[in-house]
Amino acid sequence: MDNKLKAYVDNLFKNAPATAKAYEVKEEILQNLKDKYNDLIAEGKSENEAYKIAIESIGDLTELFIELEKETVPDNSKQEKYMALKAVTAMIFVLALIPLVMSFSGRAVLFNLLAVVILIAIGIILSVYNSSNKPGYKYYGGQAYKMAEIAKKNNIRKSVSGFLWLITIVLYFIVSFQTHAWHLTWLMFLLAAAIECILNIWLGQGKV
Amino acid sequence: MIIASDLIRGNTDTIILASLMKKDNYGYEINKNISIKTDGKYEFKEATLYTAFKRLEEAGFIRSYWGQENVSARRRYYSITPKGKDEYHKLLEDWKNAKNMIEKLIDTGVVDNG
Repeated sequence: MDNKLKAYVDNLFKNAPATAKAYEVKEEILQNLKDKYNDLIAEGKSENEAYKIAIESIGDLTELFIELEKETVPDNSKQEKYMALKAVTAMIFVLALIPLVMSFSGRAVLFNLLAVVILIAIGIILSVYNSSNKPGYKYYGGQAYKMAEIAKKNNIRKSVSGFLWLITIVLYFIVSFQTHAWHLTWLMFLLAAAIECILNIWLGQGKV
Repeated sequence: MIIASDLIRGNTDTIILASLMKKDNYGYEINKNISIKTDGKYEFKEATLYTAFKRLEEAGFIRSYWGQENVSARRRYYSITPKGKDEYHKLLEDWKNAKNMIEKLIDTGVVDNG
């Protein structure tokens, strides 16, 4: 009978807004109907009677769906902030080209390459931060929310890790060509691996 | 009883806030208590109850959290906030005023049994 109630509620929610909150409300209502059904059976009602009374207690869901629909409207202020930060990030990447071109002229190569690396670093950090704040649907507490949080952390972890190895390789060549201490500079990779371990612990392993 | 159920529906928010004044509770239990208090004459439809929960939560009058029972049925508990308690007292005053007014308006004092 639980399955029959579930099928009935699933069908009613077919046209509900596809949000985490709507899913949670559906689950709650289904649980209430199961509780009600079990209570009615305990009172001595027949299975069919209990089922009928349970589904009659749902009522008209139109107003609830309208209420649930509201939260799918994106927050405009957040959208503006997101676009502005995106523009700033793009500008920083363009700015990074200046020291890159200057380094080709042969003067202060190390200084210019470092400036490129630092600008790219700032750009990547900004874009990672921005994408984690991408405006979308509001999520409330609950399992779906936690899942979204874990996925978000996982994304940040992947981006940071990718960036870490990129910067390590760049620095490895810059420092090695400048100092010619090739017998020592490879240790930077060990350092990067250690940093990644720490990052993994800090951001969690991100199991989804 | 049609008038009664209309009156009750008009006070949905007050009734839900009132039921949370004593302790946190979950949807089914809140509705069951209402049914018991009215001798089985009234209870909210699920749709009415959850529309009200959503509205009250957005207004900051209630908040909700998942219960920690170790059973297969996970229940979301609703809890009244300090702001919600203020609102409840305000709504209660509103109701008392309305009740007095309606009584004065519809009770003519004329006893006429034909």
